[in-house]
This record gives sequence, structure tokens and C-alpha cells, in this order.
Amino acid sequence: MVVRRRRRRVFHRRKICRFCADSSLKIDYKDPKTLRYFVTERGKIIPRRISGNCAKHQRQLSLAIKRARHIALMPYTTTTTF
Amino acid sequence: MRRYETLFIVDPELSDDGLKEVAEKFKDIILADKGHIIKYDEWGKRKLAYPVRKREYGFYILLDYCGPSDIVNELERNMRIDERVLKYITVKLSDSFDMEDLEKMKEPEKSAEASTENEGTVKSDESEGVTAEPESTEETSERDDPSTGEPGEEEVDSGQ
Ligand SMILES: [Zn+2]
Repeated sequence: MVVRRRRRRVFHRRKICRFCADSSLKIDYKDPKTLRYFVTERGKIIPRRISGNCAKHQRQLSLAIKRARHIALMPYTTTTTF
Repeated sequence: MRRYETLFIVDPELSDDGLKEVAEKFKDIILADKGHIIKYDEWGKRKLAYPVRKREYGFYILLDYCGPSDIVNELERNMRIDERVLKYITVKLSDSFDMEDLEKMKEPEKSAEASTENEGTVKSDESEGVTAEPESTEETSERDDPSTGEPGEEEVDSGQ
């Protein structure tokens, strides 16, 4: 009997950094409309393993989001009542 | 000189005159500190992402300027003690910015005027300057947008 080790399925959707793919897309703390795509509904920054951003752009992005939060263009956290 | 931008939020409950007065005050501080204002941009009243000092709205103003490095300290010190300012953030846009760069920022309008003049008056004259101009305007239009995620940006200080 062959014991087949169950391989955990790893989804390997090739993710691509949106900022690398589209150079016209700029990271700017003054542009919360763009930054919104990279936070959850509650306002948390989406990790790059989910978003697929490259490390460089993720760094710039998280800095921009933190600045935007500071100047009240984005929420630190959304206080949604469940 | 260095180039900075400061985005700040003014109490929206001020009168129009009151808002103007605040804006003028900070512009004057920059000028008094040997700075130059590159762009002054009123975003207007916007909903804040979270309440600040019990205000739901804020009047956003963006100042793009250049000057010696101590200009930020002076500007932010004044914003900190001014109760009409709810919040502010300063970002350094460039480490080296000189009068020449400042002139270049102003040029697009000038050269545009000049080129239309040329077209009008010296049609027959195929001077060297005319052909070069369309390119230069393209260049400067890019430069016009300082904020666009220049990777070299550096947060200088942030208030409150
Ligand atoms: Zn990237």
C-alpha cells in the first residue's frame, strides 16, 4: 500500500506588483483613492503576500498609508460595529 | 536649499477671512525665512477619516516651498502653537533645490507665452529657439507634479 502524502494545495496564482506593472500608478500619501485598494475594509494594510506587491513598492505604500493616516486622509481603523 | 511640502488642516469652522488669514500667516513665515513658495493649493473642506479635536471636517491646504532646512522647524513650530491648525505633515521633496530650479518651475508659463509670440510675430524666422520649446514644456509638466511618489521622499517631522 502506498501511503500518499496529501500535498497541501498551494495556490500559485502568479501575482504581479501593480506598481511595477503600471508605471503611471503612483504611490502618494495625498491620494487616498489609490491607497484604499491596499487596505482592508477595516483600514489595515494588506500584506504583500496577498496583494502581490514587490518589497520595494510595499515599503513605499505602507509609508504612504501611514502618512495618509496621520493627516486624516485615511482611517487608522474603521470602527464598524458588527 | 531644500524643497518641502506641508499639508495642513485648518479648522473648517473659521470664516473665509479667517481661513485666508491663517494661510497668509504661514506663507509669510516661509517668505520671512528666505523661502520661496512654489505652489499654494487649497484643497478645501473635506471629511476627516477620523475626528480631530471633535471636528468631523477639515480645511486642507498644501504648501509646496523651498528654503533653508530650518524653515520647517519654524513653520511647524508656528503650526503647533496655532489652535486653528488641527494637523500638519511635512515631507521633503528634494535635498538640493536652487534658484535655477525655481526659475525652471516658473518657466512653462513664460516659454508658452514666448512661443505664441514668436508664432505671431516672426513667422518666417526659423530661429533655433522655437523648435526646442515644445520639448521643454513636456519636461516641465512632469516636474510640475512633485508629489508623485518620489522614492527619495523623507518625512521630516509630523505634528500631533
Ligand atoms: Zn513593484
